[in-house]
Amino acid sequence: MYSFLFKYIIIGDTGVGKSCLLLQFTDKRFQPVHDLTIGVEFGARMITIDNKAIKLQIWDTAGQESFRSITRSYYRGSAGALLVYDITRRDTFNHLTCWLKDARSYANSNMTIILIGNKSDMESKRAVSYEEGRQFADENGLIFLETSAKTASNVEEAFVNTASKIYEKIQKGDFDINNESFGIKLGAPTSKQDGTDQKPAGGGCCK
Amino acid sequence: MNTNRVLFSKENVFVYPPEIEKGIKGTISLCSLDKGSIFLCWIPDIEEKEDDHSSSSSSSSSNLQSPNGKNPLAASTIIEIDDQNSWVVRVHVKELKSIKKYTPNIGTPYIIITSKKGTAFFPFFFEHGGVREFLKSLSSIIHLKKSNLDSNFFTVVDFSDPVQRSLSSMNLSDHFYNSNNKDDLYSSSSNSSSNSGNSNSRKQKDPVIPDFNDDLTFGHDMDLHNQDQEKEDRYSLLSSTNQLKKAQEISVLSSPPSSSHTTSISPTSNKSSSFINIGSNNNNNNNNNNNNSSVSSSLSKSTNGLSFSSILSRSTSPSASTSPIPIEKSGNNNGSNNNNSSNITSPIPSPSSKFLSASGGSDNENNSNNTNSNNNSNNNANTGSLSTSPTNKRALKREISSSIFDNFAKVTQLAKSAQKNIFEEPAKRIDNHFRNLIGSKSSIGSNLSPQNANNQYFDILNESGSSLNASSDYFTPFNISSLNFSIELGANRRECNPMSPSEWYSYFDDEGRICLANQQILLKKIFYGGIEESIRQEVWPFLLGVYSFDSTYSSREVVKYEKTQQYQTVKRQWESISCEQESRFSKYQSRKLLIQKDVIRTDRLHPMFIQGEDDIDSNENLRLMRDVLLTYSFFNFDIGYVQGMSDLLSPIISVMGGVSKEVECFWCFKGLMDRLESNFHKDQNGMHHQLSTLSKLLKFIDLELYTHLEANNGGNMYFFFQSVLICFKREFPFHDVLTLWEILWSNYMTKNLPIFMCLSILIKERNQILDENMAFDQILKLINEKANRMDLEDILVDAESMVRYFIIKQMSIDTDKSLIKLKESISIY
Repeated sequence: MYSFLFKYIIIGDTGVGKSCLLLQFTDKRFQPVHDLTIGVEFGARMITIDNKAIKLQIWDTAGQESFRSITRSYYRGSAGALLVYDITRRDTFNHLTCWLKDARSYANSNMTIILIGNKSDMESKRAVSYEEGRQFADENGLIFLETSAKTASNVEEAFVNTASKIYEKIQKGDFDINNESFGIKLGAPTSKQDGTDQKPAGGGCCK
Repeated sequence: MNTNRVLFSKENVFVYPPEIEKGIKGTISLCSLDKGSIFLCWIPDIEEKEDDHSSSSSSSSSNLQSPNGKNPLAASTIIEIDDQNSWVVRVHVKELKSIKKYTPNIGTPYIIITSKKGTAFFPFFFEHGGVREFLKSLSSIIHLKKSNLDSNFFTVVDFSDPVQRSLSSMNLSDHFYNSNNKDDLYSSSSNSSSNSGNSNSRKQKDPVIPDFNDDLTFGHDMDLHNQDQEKEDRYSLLSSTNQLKKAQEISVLSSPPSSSHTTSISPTSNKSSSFINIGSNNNNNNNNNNNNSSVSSSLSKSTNGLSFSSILSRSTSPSASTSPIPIEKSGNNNGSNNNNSSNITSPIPSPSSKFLSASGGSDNENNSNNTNSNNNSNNNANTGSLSTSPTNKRALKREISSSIFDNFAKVTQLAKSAQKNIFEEPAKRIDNHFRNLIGSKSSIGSNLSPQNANNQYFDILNESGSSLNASSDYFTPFNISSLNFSIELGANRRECNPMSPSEWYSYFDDEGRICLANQQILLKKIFYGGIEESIRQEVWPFLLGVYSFDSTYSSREVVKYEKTQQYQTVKRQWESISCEQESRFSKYQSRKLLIQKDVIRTDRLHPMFIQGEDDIDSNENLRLMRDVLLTYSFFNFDIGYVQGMSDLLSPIISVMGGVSKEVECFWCFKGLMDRLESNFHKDQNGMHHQLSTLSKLLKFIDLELYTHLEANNGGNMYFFFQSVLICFKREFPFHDVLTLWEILWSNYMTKNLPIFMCLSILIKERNQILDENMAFDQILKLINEKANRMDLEDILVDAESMVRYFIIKQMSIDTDKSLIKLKESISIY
């Protein structure tokens, strides 16, 4: 059981390592070569924040522009977004503006976005400096981290920090929790006697 | 019991036997009995009002039961009449030879069906329309080939018959069928020729061919009259011995009944009715021994001797109660008539006759249940309007004038295209008459209304087709198993082995062509069984349009050469881009990079595509994949490269055999892309279109589930995005995908099978989705998790069921605008 369920979406150019990040986060393993994602894939994991069990339900989208019209529909109803670029490929960084624009226009305004510069293990091939990434994040009000899906560096943090931020927002009352379009669902209370909360949303997803 | 089902059914179909003035109202249907045999049935509604028929029609009824065994030539077909006025036609669809449809502008449309034995049934008048639907249904079961000469004439192509196959391969079929048909037409038309609504106005015809029109009293359609004459003319042109022989047959069959329709038990009229009572022959074993008043019992006795075991075998099964034969009427009749009729009916049976009949005492019991019939129908039969159609006349004359040699010369049209024409005829072509009469939507459901339940035939129909028994156009909740197609189709699939090399080679003629008829067998075969692995490499280029089926060995060599040149030309275009050039050609650079990136993550576990040291060059097949994709992106620059293409290419490479077949790989891939190009358009219109078709189809088939999805953001059907985009490449194991794709490429029945597959996958989960009130994300997860856990055969069987269901259902609600739209988005062949 969980207290909250947060929905995430992972976006970014194709080949930046979105699926690998997800796999590292959910399965704690790295697959050097991952099937390319078509449409949307799905992952979930429980984390704990402030002693509360939080389920992260993560949508991993296809990166190629051709699929944009489909992936856009997943923005809606997401509480958090991981916007990923590849620090070894400049163009993936250059496209961030596009992605961000998309996210802003199709997601709810309260969506928490984290910018992720992936493949930090490939320092020798770096094409985007940490500072550039940092700066872009600051300018756009995003959380920022450089990660490596391969070494698992910062992967956990990326997902958890985002969740913390969302949790913060909940505490501040930024969300109408009962409105599922924010990508947040209230889990069933651990003591299952609250009759009013008899619909443990997404409960079926719990393994 | 559950294996019997109705594939099509249409009420208000009249037959006008000469003896019965008002005609007989009945229901025509296609029903599948156990073991998958499909029969065309016509069963009279029960029955005329008693007062009606105790007087004049009682005598005519005895006509109907005349000892029709007198005609040896008529022994073939499976028709029987039983009791008073109860005419029944049941013929295995494989026994059909041709169908001629008449759709006069004014008046009742009708069809004339002939059997392979050259016997024409009485015309079936579709009082409330439905001819087109009937043909459509029928052609989903058997191959109907539209005549080149007469678009209203359809021959049944029997691919299982080697003679017919080879005839067909000689492109003679049209002529052949036509020539046969002319007499059929003649005979049937002589049956149907009209007396302008007046039985007194006789028209004497060709002396060779007896005219027993006079016995017919239907005032339906002057058109018939004209056509009849035409056919007479046409008949006189017939020259082949075959035709002459037929003519003789007919003359025997239909010796002119001098008697009027009121005659009772006159031998002549018996003969005329023998046209329908073909089930008999001259071995009247049972002679008049059975003086039982129970007609059905005599019938059942007689059936013991029948050789048509496929029918008989059914008599012991519950399906026997479907058997329309003994419609027990005796209760309604006065005793003398009964005696009469039983005397007459008893001789009918014979060992060799194939007439249908239900045997066994249980049937009698069943039948007696049907005596409580309420029938008042025949009255409206005579009131059809009359019209002459000069155009029709002209058309027929034209037809006559084309010589047999012309026919020889004519290349036969694909039976497929004939089918297609039937199906793709715009909805507006549907008989106005039908629309006027129906006024509202007629649905299968309404055809199977409980009012018909007193017809024993429908008892079974209702039982097996209960899902169709809905009052609305939409059926909820939907239960695919209730469609009852599945069992049979599943059997089809299981019984059909993959096409073997020897079979494949047997389809070629000496020059290496595969004739039209063989193509159809081939494609159907592939649809049901796929292809053996060893010959995929040879067959796929045909399925993917690299080579046309009618190309010869030598022409294929030419094509191969040309395609090789063409491929090399395009390939050189990107190969010649130097590194320096590339550095200033970012679009090319990124495209190439993306392709390389995707290639190594395509089927990376497949032995052919295992990657070496993180380098595409470590594996020649990966290189090949890149080259083909890159070349295609130059060949079709507008589309370029889109993710998913590599998934489409890898099976082709694995089947074609890798690098040595680079050119073939490319052109096969190109052929596949031709099919799927719209999936990869930038705006994804193709994908959206298909997914929205899926959604509409779901609405049509399972409104409840549709409504749920709509309310839960699932109306867009995005959970099938991947399945549709790359044709289930990732939803089934690799080897299954190969089979599936062959099946899809066979284009059998529909091009849109993937949509129906999605539908069947979704509907399999419908209860869970509804019970757990699943929202979009949960459904997506559910569907994603189904990948590689589904049984392909199972899904295909269900999908095919739904295609067939759709075909049948769509015909019955032609007036639904949204459905017409839906029909436009789904191509049914």
